[in-house]
Amino acid sequence: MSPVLTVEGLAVRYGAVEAVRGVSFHVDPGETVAIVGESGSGKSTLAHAALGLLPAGATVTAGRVLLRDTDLAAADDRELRHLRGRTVALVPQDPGASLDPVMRVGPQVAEVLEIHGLARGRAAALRAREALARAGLQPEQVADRYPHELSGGMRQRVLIAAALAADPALIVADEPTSALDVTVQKQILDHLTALTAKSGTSLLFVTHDLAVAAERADRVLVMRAGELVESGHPAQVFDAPRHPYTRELAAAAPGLDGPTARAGSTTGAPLMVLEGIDKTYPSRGGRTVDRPAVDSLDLAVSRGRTLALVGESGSGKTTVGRLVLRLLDPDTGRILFDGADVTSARGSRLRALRRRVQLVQQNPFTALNPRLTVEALIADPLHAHRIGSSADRRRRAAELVEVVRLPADTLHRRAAELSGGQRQRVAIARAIALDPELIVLDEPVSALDVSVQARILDLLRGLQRERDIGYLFITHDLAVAREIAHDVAVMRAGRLVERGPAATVLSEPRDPYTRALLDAVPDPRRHRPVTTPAHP
Amino acid sequence: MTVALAKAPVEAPSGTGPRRRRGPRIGLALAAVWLLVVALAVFVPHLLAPGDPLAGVPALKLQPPSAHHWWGTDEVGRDLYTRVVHGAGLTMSTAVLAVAMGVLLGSALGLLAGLAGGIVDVVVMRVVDVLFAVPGILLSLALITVLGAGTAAVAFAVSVGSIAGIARVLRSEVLKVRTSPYVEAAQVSGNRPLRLTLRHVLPNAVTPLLALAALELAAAILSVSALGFLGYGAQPPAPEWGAMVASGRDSLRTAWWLTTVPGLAIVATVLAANRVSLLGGRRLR
Amino acid sequence: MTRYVLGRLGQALLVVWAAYTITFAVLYVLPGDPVSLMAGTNLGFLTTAQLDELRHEYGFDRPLVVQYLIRLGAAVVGDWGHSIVSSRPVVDVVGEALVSTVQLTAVGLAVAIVGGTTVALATVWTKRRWPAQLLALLPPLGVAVPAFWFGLLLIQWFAFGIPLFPAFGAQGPASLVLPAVSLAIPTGATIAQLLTRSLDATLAEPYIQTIRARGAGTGRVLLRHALRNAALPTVTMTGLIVGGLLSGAVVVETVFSRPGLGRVVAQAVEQQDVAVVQGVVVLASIVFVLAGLAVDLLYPVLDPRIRAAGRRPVRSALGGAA
Repeated sequence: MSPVLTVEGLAVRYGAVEAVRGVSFHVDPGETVAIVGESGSGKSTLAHAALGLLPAGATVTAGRVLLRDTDLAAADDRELRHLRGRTVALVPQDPGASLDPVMRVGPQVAEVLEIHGLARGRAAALRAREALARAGLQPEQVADRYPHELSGGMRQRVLIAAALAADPALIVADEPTSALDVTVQKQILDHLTALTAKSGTSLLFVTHDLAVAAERADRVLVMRAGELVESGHPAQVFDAPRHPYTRELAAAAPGLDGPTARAGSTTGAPLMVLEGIDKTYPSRGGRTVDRPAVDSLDLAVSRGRTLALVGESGSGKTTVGRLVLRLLDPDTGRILFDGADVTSARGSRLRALRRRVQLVQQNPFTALNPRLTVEALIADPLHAHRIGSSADRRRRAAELVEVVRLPADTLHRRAAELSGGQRQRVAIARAIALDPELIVLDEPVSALDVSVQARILDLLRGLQRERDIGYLFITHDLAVAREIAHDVAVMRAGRLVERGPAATVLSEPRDPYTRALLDAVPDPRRHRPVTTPAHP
Repeated sequence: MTVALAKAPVEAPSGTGPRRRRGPRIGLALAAVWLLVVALAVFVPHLLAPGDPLAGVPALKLQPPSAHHWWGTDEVGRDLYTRVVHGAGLTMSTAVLAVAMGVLLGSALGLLAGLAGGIVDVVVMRVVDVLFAVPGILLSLALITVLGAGTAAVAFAVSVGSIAGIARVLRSEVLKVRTSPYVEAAQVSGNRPLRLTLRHVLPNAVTPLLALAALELAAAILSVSALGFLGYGAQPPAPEWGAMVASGRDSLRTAWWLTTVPGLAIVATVLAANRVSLLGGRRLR
Repeated sequence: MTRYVLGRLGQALLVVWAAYTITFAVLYVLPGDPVSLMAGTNLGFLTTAQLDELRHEYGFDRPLVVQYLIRLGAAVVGDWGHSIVSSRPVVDVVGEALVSTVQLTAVGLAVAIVGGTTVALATVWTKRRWPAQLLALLPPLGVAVPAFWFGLLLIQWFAFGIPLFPAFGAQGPASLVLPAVSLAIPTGATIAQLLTRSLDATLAEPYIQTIRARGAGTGRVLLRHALRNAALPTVTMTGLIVGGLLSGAVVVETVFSRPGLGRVVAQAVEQQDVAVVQGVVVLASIVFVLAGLAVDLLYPVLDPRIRAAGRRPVRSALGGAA
């Protein structure tokens, strides 16, 4: 059989920048092909080229994209419209923003049928309901809803339903689950692969996660800086990568096998202790009973150790971080630091506490004052606490830049001139400027590419060894937790469901929720044979 | 039609279509040149038009544009070009004065509300709401009823109309910056409230002020000339663009240039100020 | 819901009350009483005794707080005082003028909405071709054009040049055309600017990409999806737009010598007839506040996300399904 999609020597440029260079590959009928790469690798550009939907300003400078027999680069607008949705369909990246917010969900699924004249009116609505049911939703509950009334996972199912509604030959899924919680991610991917397998639809699957790709694809393509550096069977790509970049990616990919990185410990004097903490945010409506963000929580972080606080969005883990930093006040309970009760510390006592407890935030792009140079940013805590002369502070900033392994010339730059990884290093330098005893790290690597992630985690481990700092490491990612944590605490809906040494929790979880989380972490060495889906 | 990517790849910053890039650059250059000319007309009008804007030759009244009188003459034989050039001083100084007062008062109120919060915020913003609820020109007219006509009164009356908008933008800017992660980080770094405000909040909150001032200048020119047209600004025979349009009204049928030319000066200046305000990058309203 | 409506209503009343109070403070307190103000103008021939009598007649000799309370109390029940110049009730003076101004602003608003929306859609539709570059120039130009000047140009062209419409006055629908167009230019340009910007932002949303990936053409994308979403931020500016129209009407009525609020207020300012000025200002604030209320109550109809309060999300109903 001839391939559904053939890409031959494709080159795409945005102005002066070549986003894709000389890429060739094909997707056979019924095949699942994964394109793996970090941000800026050109993987999304490839996905959009397959839909004939390159953004304005992008030009195809060489090569061809053949969908069945039609050259998309040469096709006119009408031909392209005829193919989109009917022959090739898209499952987009961000389900939260990919549905028209003012239109009910059912008509949005039916629209693809109407556009292509496959059904109209009630017949289209009926077929939309069938499609929703195939995607694992209950149509009578969902079809008349607006997108904002559905959860992220449900919205992605709606989008899958719309993509499959017109029975396309190829589905392009562009990071379809990166905006979802891990447990939901797994369900969605399982369902998507099962559906495409059942209907014999080909799947072109774009992801930044080599493990996810290796787990589910028939073939894996690795992109780097616009070029295809490796392609092959997942087992080969992951276990015996030929290209050095793939090797680096495979090594950096956090997984769950092998011994845990660091031995757990329950000894050592606790540095920061939370006792019986409750915290409820006042609700806006005032009618419903508020669910507490944090519910009778006990937690302790030891000096020189890392406690990973793991949970999905809405679990309350970020609230805990803010409580520890005393950016929020608990409703009840006590917070002890180094034996002293700091629950209601104010003024100079609070400032004294903040010399010893520091913070690294999630998004390095908003965590740095855009008007200050790196030098001023790093020296800011010293300045705030009036430590040293301004020459001393400059010297210290230069030292710290070296400690976090940034080039010395970054000192006089501003945040906007730095990459995400570099910015996070600046934030870390700022956090250690005061030689704190505890640092709260709120998802410090989740906004970064995997290879950068691995280097930042490495830096954090090194700093901890040298300086005996305690970390409260907040993350949604068990694999990342495994890389850095001595102890793990798992949160769900404001409550701690499990806690213990990392080795124990991650290998023999007692709580079913922890098990579900662990199960959801992709395992490249457990290639899932595609099976017929159990119909919902 | 352009449709940007869901998540624009790093290589393709959004909004770099050809329309975005080339057109406005030319527009910006033209705007800058025009504002420069206006500045010359304000500060050294005799350099551009050496004649006397008030002296007319009755024999040469209502002459159409010619090589001798580029833009013609008015009903008492004064050179229109000279009057428009000299009129820039009155119109622009009134507008600039209005913006200066408006920006000063408006940003003071906005910053006060945003930084103080609580009851101060509520009270200040309710007052701003009221200023906002009365259309600009009516507010100005009410003040002129009391203050009487004249450029100072017009400047003050127009400035009051711009306070509400400026105060709102700055307040929301302060609130946005105050809840930003980098201010939280600075708080955790141990910054005292005063230093937090002065070093981390204020400098970032006032970024849009310059663009806002340019935008307000454009609005103020329109308001000043409208009040001048209605007869409340500079009194004749002083040249003021709005008043000149009004006086040309009587010869509308015979001397089109008397209304058209001063109006074009207003349009060009407002256009230029609006274009320059876009330099701030962020759209303010 | 009822509580929300009542709350908003209370807020609206507060604004109108404050507008009344502030105009009272400005007009009656600042530079001495209105009678002395008038003494400088058309009543200059009166003697001091006669002026005192006038003051007594209008109640200006009482303490300001008392004056304020009496006037406020009367205003609440619809007595907005009397014109100092013509002695007629302010409510009558303003009410008569209102009809003509409402006609003008209503037609102006309609022209502005239709014109602004058309220009915005056309700009976005033709993007990247040469007409788009021309179309994109229109809104900034329209915003920069003074309504009084454009009105005079229209008179030159379409009343004197080609005699299609009357230049002045308010006789019949034809006399409404030129004033309504000059009134609509700045407002329509503002709408076009807001809407173009909003359409640009909406078209960059991921869901538009998704809809295009289903094979939808530009027409469907724009009219069925983008326009409705893009109109939402513009709708919230209705108060500002109506305020702009009222401001414009004052000037445009003067240009075209039309009867209406503009002429009333221009006359009142000239004669320092404070009661009438206050009446018009408070009326304007009432209109602004009503526009705001209408938008607040209408918004949930346009945007289902605002309606959410009343309906439970399905999230919980389906539990672990996704």
